[in-house]
Amino acid sequence: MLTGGHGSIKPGGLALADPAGTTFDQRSVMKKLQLAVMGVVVGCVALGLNGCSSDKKTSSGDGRGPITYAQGKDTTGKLGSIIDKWNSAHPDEKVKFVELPEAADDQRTALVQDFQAGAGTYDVAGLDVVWTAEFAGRGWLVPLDGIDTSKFFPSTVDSGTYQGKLYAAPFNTNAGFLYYRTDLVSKPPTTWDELKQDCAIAAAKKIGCYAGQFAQYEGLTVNFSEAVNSAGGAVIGSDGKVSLDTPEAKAGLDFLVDGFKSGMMPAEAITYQEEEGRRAFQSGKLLFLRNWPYVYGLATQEGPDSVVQKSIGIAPIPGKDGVGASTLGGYNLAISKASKHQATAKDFIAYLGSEEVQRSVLVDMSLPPVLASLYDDPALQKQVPYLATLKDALNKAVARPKAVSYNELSQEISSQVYKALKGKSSTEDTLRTLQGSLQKIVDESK
Amino acid sequence: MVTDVAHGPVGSAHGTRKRRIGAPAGVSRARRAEGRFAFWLVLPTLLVLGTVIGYPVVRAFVRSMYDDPIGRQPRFIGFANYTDTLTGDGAGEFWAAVRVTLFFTVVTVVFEVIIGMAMALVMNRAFRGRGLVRAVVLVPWAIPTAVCAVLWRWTFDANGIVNHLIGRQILWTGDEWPAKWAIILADTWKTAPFIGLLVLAGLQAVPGELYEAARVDGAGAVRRFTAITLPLVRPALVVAVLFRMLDVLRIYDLPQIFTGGANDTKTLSMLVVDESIGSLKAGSGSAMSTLTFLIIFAIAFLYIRALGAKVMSSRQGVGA
Repeated sequence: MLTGGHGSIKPGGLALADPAGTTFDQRSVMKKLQLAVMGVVVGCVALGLNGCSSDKKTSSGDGRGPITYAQGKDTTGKLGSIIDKWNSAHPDEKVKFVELPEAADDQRTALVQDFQAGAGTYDVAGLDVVWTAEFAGRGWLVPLDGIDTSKFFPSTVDSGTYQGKLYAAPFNTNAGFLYYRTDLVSKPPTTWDELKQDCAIAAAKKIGCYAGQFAQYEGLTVNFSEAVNSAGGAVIGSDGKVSLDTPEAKAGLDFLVDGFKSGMMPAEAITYQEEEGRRAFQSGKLLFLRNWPYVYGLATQEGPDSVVQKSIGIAPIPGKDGVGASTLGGYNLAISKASKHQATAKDFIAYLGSEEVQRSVLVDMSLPPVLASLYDDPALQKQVPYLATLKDALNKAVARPKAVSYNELSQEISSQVYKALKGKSSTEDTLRTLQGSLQKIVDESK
Repeated sequence: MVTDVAHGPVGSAHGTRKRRIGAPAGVSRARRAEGRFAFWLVLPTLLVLGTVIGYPVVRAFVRSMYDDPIGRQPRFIGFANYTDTLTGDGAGEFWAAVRVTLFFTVVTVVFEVIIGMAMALVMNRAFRGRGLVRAVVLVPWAIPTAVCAVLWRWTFDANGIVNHLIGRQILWTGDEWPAKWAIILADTWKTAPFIGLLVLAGLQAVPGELYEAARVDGAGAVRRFTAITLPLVRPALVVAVLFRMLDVLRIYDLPQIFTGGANDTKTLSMLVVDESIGSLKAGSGSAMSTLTFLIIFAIAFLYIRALGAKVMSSRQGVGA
C-alpha cells in the first residue's frame, strides 16, 4: 500500500517540474493546481495508513462443507500431504490451505482484517498462543466444545483457553532451551549462579558468555517473563493482577540487567533477535544461548555456517534456585465465528490433533507436538535427540501473560525493560512503572 | 498516475475559462461548450479520486470519533481520541514520534539535496561512460525500500561490514544516535538519486549559451553555478524537495525493518500502524492518522506558500 502510493506520485512530480508552456495567465491556476495535487498526494498518505474496519454481522452456521484453513507459511512443505490425506477421506468437506506470510505480525494482520470484517474467508486459522485471548476476547472465535484435549500437555491446553473456555486447540508447542558448547562445558548450568561461574570459561576463550533475545521487540517480553518466572514470580498472577512489585520480579530483571553490566552478556546482544543470536552461537562467539528448538536442526547441520555443529548441547534454561521455567510458544487452531461450516472445521481440528498427524508434526515438520505420549516413545526419542529435554521444559513451561491487549502489553514491557537493559532506568523504577502501566492496560481491556 | 491524469484536463479546463474573458460573443458559446465537454472528461477522474482518496480520509475521520471497545459496538466519543493523543496518556509517545519524524525529514532532505544536486551535475556533463553512470546512480532508487532496509540491516549488523571496516564495535541497531544516523544514511543512499534525476531534468533545459555568455563575461565556476544553474534548476528542485518531504514525513518501512521503532526511531506512520493494527485500536489509530495527515498537509501547504510563488516568478524569468 505504502509503496503503491510511492509509485503514484512521481509522474505528477515530473509533470510539475516541466516549465514548458506556463504563461502568465496560468500562474494562479498552476498554484491552485499545485495545492490540489498536494491534497491528492497527502490524501494518498492517509489512504496508505488506514485499514477501514467495518463491523458487519454475519450469520454463523453449524453446517458441513468445504472449508479454508489459514496459517503461516509452511516452510517444511509437509502440511500439504497432511491436508491431502484429509481431503481424500472427506471429498465433500475438502480443506483449502491458505498460506499466510511467514512473519507472525503479518499473519496476525491478515487474520485480524478477516475477523474484524466478519468476512469468513478463513474458517480455521492457526493462531500464535498469545492471540487466543486477543481474538476470543473480541468475540471473533467460537468456543470449541467437544474437542478432546485430555491427551495434550496441560500447559498447551491452557494457552488456548480464555475465561475457562477452550477457544483454540493446541497444534504444536514450543519452549526455550539453553544451548551450550559441549567442548567447553561438561555439565550445563541449572542455576543462574552456576551460569555466572561458567562465564570464566568464556572469558578464557575470549568469547561471549550468554545471550537470549534482547532487542526491543516481542522476544524481549518472552525473555523478561521467562526470567521472572524462573525466579519464581509471574508478570500477571493467577488472580489476573499484575505482580511486578515482588522480590521475584526484581530478581528476574536484575539477572538480565546485571548480565549486561557484568559483561556476562556481550554488549551486542542488545541487538539480538532469534537469528542474530543463532548466528553468533553457530560461529563460535557464544558459550550459552537461550533460543527455540529450531536452532538445533540448523546448528547441527554440516556446513561452513556452523563451526560448532559437533559440539552442541541442549539443556533446560537455568533459573534462580534451580531449573528455570521457559515461556510457552506454539500455534493453536481456532474457528472463525463467521465460518459457515463449523462442524467440518471442528472435525478437521480434531484430525490435526490425532496421533497420526501429531507424529508427522514432530518427524516431518520438526515442530514440538502437543500430544504428550509421543515424548515417551523410545523410537522417537532416538530419532529426535532433544525430545527428553523438551519434555522437561514443556512440563515446566509457563504461558505468556494472557491479555486481550497482549500486543499493547508486550510493547510496553519490551520498551520499559529495554530501557533498564540500556541502563537508562533502574530495575526498581522500571518495575514500578510497569506495575502501573500494565495494570492500566489490563483494566482497560476488561 | 493519478496526479498526472488530473493535471492535464484540469489545467486546460481552467485555462479555457480564463481566456474566455473579453472574447467575442460567438466564440464564447463555443468556449462554453468546450468547457462543458472538459467537465465530462474530468468527471471520471474526480469520481475515482473521490472514491479511492476522499472516502478513506472521511471514513478515517468518522472512525476517529468513536472509541475502541472490546466486545461491544464502538460508541461516539467526539474528539476524546484527539485530546488523548495530544495531551493525554499517549501524548509523550505521539510528540516523540513527531520530533523523530521531523528530524528525519529535515536531515535526510538536506543531505539528499546536496548529494542529489552533485549527482545531477555529474550526470549532466558530457563524458565517456555517462550512460553507465546515469544507470548506476539510479540503482539504489530502483531497489524496493524493504529490500534496501534489510540490506542495510546486514551491513550495520554488530558483526557486519561497517563495523569491520571502521574497526570499531558500534551497535548500529542498539543505540539511539547510531540507529538514527544509520537510518538517515540508508534513506539518503536510496533517494538522493530521485532528487538527482529531477534536477537533471531541470539542468537539461538550461541552454548552453547562457554558460558560454557568462564565461565570456568572466564569471568563474562558482558564480556560474550560483547565478545560472541554481536559479534555473530551482523550480525542479523545489518540486523534488516537496515530494521527498512528503515521502519522509510518512517514512515507515525503513525504520520499521531497521529498528522496529526501538531507540527513539519510531515515526508517526509506525505509531499509527502500531495503534490501529498492532493494538487493534482503530479509533485512536484513525485519530493519529488524521493528525498525521493534517501535519503533513500543513507542512506541504506552508512550503508551497513560501516557495511556490517564487517557483512561478522564476519560471517567468526563464520564459522572458
